[in-house]
Amino acid sequence: MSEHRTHPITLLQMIWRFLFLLIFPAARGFLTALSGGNVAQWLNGAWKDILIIAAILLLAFLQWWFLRYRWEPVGLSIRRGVLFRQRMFIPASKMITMSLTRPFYLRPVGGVRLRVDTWAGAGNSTDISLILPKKAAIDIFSKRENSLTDLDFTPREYHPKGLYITCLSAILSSSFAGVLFFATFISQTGSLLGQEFADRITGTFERLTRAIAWGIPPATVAVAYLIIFGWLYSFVRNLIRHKNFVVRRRKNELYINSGIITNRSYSIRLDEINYIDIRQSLVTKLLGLYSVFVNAVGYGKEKDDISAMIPANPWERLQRHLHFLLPEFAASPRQVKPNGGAIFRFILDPLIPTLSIPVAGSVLAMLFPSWADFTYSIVWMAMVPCLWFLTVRFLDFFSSGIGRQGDMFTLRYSSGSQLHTVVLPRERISQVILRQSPIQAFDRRCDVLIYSMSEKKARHHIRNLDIAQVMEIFGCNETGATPFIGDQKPMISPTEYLHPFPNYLRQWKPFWKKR
Amino acid sequence: MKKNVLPHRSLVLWQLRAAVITFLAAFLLTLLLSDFHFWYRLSLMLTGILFLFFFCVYYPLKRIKFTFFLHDGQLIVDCGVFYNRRRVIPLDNIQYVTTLRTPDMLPFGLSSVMIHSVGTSLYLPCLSFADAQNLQEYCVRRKKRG
Repeated sequence: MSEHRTHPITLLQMIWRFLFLLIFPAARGFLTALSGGNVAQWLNGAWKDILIIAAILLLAFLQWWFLRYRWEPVGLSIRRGVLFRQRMFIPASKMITMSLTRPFYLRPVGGVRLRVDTWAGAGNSTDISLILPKKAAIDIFSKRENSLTDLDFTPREYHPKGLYITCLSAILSSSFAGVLFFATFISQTGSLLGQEFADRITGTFERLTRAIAWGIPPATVAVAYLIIFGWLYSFVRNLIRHKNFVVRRRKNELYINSGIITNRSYSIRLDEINYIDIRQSLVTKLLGLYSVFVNAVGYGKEKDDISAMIPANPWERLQRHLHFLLPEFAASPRQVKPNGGAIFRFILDPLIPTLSIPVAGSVLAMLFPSWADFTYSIVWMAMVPCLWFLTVRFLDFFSSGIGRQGDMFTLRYSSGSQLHTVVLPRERISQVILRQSPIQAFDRRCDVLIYSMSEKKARHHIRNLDIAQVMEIFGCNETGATPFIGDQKPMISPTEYLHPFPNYLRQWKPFWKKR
Repeated sequence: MKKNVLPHRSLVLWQLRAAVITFLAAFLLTLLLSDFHFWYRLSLMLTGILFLFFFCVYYPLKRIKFTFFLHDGQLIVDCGVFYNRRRVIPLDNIQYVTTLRTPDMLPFGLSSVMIHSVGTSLYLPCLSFADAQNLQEYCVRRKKRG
């Protein structure tokens, strides 16, 4: 099989790498001006600048000319470098995710970005990223897909409804990204379009907030509108990203495609999926909707990547789709869960700011009476995320726990404002930590921290579970003897405090093996 | 099943380190704060309390509560001083194991072990040299066989 060159648009990428050489023409111009030289003097040495620009173009061209790739049934080989020649070969069996990205700016020239990811390399960078002609990229992608397909296996395809895509976009939207965008936009307008234009935008925003303040302090309204518009911006971006979402399951491949302005396709090796994460936010919890996300090397890695597999769906429908697409990852019911008295362990974190913010606000209002209105409005705004967090932790208390079916674990917990149900195969567990605070020691409870295999650190934190049951479910008892859950001693002895874990061993029938 | 504990000399080494650090801190405090009597005495007193805490409470507890053993294809480490921790690493997911010896460990025949797994790592401080070598060899041999 012959070698091919990448798309000529790669030249622009190469030129970008050598742009730092422009510092020499810039320095020459600066020094000429500094030494009192005129335009004629500067033009006298212009040939040097032209030489440097020519060198940049030549270097970029040589880099592109010597960058070649070849797809073979056993893998992808890449050759690059002019003086320092480099040969790279990635076996097809080691490729976990292959993706095609078709950004709108590459469409007119027929370019497509091909990305390949393996377990190797840093967590935030792609192993291989090439811009190829559309036909060649699609050819490689379909050959890889064919290698993971079995003709006896009937492919299964899932097209979610538009409403569910809208819900997913709402779940994924955060005000923070949007606010960051608007803040940068407003602050940079002056330098890009002139101070007059920047003043006009700021003035319009100020007039708008004053006009629709309805008695609320304008500064508070400005913050609120910034958050709302920020969220809307993020929502529209997510909607565009997830439009035309399709999932296809083949024998050993999960194919995901979505996006209208920038279209993205992913091919993930099924046996290399680390875990699936069924997520709910507070709003979707109230609406009874769930979304499924996949964790695999190279999937959802870059900023605008897709990481969902099934958009927002009711539980029964989600189970049906999940069984249809990934029957290997079946969630099991809770077998280990926190006791009733553990509620404070859950709500303590959000309770502290929920109680302290109003107190601090009242004190500030008393100290600075002229700022009282503004202080109270800020307190109200700050209370919203606190109460939100508190509600999430309440819901977490009633739903968190661990389930096990064979070698598949189901972990239910909350992280930030999201409720997670993670279905994780045993062989994908990297480390389990049972952490017991001195208070939990008296109650024989512990927090469970599970690190799963992932390019980046992936930690799952389940709070306040019975330590004996946890040791049993993860099979980390010293003797293989099983724990005893009833008739616990009221106080722990010093020996038990110093060596707690062996003291939880008792003769008992394993509760998760009862079936 | 044999449970491995840290040798007594690891405690001696930690206490020795605490003593050296306290001596250095006291020396620096004398050099910098001796003109400010109140602050000098206060900082010396705090340094002394900290030293006693680490020497008499923290390090002895740390050694007593540290055990590790291999069980059912897993490496299990019990550790923690005030918080109890049981760390469980499946041996199949261990990528490589490194041993670490600082100059002060050499006379005590101690070695630390760092176990690197996918997406996480585990540090076992101041094991006896033989234990560290056995653990490293066991993990490597098991990996090769797999």
